[in-house]
Formats: sequence, C-alpha cells, structure tokens
Amino acid sequence: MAGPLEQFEIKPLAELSLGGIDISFTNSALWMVFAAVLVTCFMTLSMRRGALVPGRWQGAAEVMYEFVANMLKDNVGSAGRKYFPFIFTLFMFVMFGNLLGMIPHSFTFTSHIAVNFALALVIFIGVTVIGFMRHGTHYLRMFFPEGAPIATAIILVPIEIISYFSRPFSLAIRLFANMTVGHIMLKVIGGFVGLIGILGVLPFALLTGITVLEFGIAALQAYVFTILTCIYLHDAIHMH
Amino acid sequence: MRGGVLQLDSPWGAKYVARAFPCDVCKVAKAGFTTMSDDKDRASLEELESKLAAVAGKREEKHGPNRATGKPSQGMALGMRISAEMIAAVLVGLLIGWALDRVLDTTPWLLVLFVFLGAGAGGLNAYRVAKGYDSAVGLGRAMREHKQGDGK
Repeated sequence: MAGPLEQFEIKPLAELSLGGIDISFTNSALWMVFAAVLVTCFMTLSMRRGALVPGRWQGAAEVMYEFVANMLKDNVGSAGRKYFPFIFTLFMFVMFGNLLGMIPHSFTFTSHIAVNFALALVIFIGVTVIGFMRHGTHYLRMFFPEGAPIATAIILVPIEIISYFSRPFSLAIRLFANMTVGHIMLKVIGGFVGLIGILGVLPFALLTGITVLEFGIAALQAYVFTILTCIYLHDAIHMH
Repeated sequence: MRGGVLQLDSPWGAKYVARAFPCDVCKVAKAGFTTMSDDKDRASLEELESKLAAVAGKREEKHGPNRATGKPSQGMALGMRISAEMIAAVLVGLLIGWALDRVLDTTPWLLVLFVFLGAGAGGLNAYRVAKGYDSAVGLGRAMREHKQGDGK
C-alpha cells in the first residue's frame, strides 16, 4: 500500500533541460495538458453545431459559459467584459484540474503550490497592472485606509501593503490546502478498508461519502479561486 | 468560416436566448408567465422596467456593480478562508522582513518587525473576511461602502 503522500510525487516523463534549467515534461505537466485539451474539446465540440435548441453537450457548455459570465458581471460589472476570456479559461482550467484529480491513479496538479502560485501570480500582476493603468499613481491611495488619522499611516501602510501582497499567497494556499487535504484523507481512510477485515465496510461507507464531498470541493474551490480573482479585478477597476 | 454559427451570444442580460432564436418567440414565452392580460398595465410595467434598467445602469457606472457582500459564507469554507488569509499574511511579512534584512544587513530586526506587521495584516484580513468587508482594499472604504449598502 502506497503512503498517503506518494500520490503527490512529481515524476519526470521526458528529461529535458534548457540552459541548465530542468524543464522536464512531468506527470504534472501531462495532466495540465490533459486538462487544457479536454476543456478545448469540450467547448468546441459541444458548440460545434450551435443549435437553436441546445442538446445535452451544448447545454452543459452554455451552463459553464453563463455561470462565469454572470459571476463576472455581478462582481466586476460591465467593465469586466473584456477580461471574460481570461476568467473563463482560468475557471475551466482549475476546475478540470481538480476534477481530473478525482480519477484514481491520476495526478492532481492543483495540489502543488508551485502551480497554484504561478496562476495566482499571473492574476496578481495582471490586476496590479490594470489598477495602475486605470488610476495611475492614484492607485497607491488604497494602501491608506480612508478616514484614519494621518499619524497612523506609519503602521497602517505597511499592514495594508502586506495585506495586498498576501493575496496571491492566500489564493494559492487555499486551493493547495483543500486539494491536498482531501486527497490525503481519501488515501488514509482508503488504507483502513483492507486493513481491518470485515469491519472495513465502515471506512468504505465513509469513503463513499467523502468522495462525493471531494467532487463538491473540487468544483467549489475552482469557483472560489475565480470569484476572488473577480473581486480583485473589481478593486482594480472601481477603486472609488 | 462558420463564425456566424460558432459565435456565442453576449454574456450580459439575465435570460440567455440563443442568438438565432426569433424574438417573437421569446416575447410569447415571456407573456406566458405573466398573469397580466391588460395591455395598459403591461405597457406601464414595461416603462417602469426600462426606467429601472436605466437607473441600475447609471448606478453601476458610478459605484460598480451592486454586490451582495456582507453575507459571510458558512462554517468550514469560512474557516478555511480565514486560516489561509492569516497564514498568507504572516508568510508575506516573513518574506519581506527576511529580504529587507538581507539587503540592509540588519538581521534579525526587520524580520521580527515584519512578522508582527504580517500578523497584524493577517488579523485585519481575517476580520475582513468574517465581516464580509473583503470587497475592497482599505478597511475604511469597505466599511463605508458596506454602510451605504445597508442604509438603503
């Protein structure tokens, strides 16, 4: 029986190196490619006919599309329209990554903080650039809470700056923690099933429930990741 | 290309109707749901609706979208969010302090200072999440926005 942490091991599938940097194609990268290809196939194939009355696949694709479109509209407003392609791609990629991880013997790339942090960093840098492009140096004003006495700036400004810089970390850590904890829990409880004979029915029943819960968490965490991106985007666009 | 067929409808608007859907059909479908048979009533209703839409549009232009903030999410998810916020803030404080110490050669004083500041930021973030003030950076602004939302 493999240990509960072995499922997160990164194994290089094809050794590659570029200028001394290891850029091997790993199992993590393989599942990222799977996610990207699956999302693309799902969206293009199900919308291929573009039927008047949507069929099953088209209906599913439209539900995804509308879900993200409404989320963006409710949280960012019409100014967020041009960021829809990015937000939608982000949501689908993270969600497919989470869901693909639920396939036995697959690899959950969202359980690696490096992957999540790279995604979060792109969002963080993008949002900061958008904020400065729209408001110029005025954007810096949000590091000082409105209405606070000016003397408190020496403490409040560093705190607000740390709070701002903690955004990509909290985005990455949240997704990583949820995915990792869920998968370890499944593995540990799964280990008990064979270990305690006939009583193994009990952990098996528990495992069934947790598996359902994990599917829910997979979708929920993709949603949380996307909605926080929307909130950050809202801050950068409307910083009244 | 088959652009016309593949092109998705605009994401805005509450009800999604496929682009090719003839508009009369949606009107009929809409009318089916209202019990109002009087044409005059419907006309005034439509007028009201367009007025409301105009007001909502103006409001959005000024203040950003009307969001249902202040409704904290429940239990486990909230706990997970708060803990992530606190850990992240302390981590960032630690990183900034460590980096500044290396640059300014003041080990370990800035590290100590920034860990405390990070903890402060973590507390602030946790408070924001718990209170539903996490919609805006800058606590004062978020609280004012919140009050405005409630005052109506």
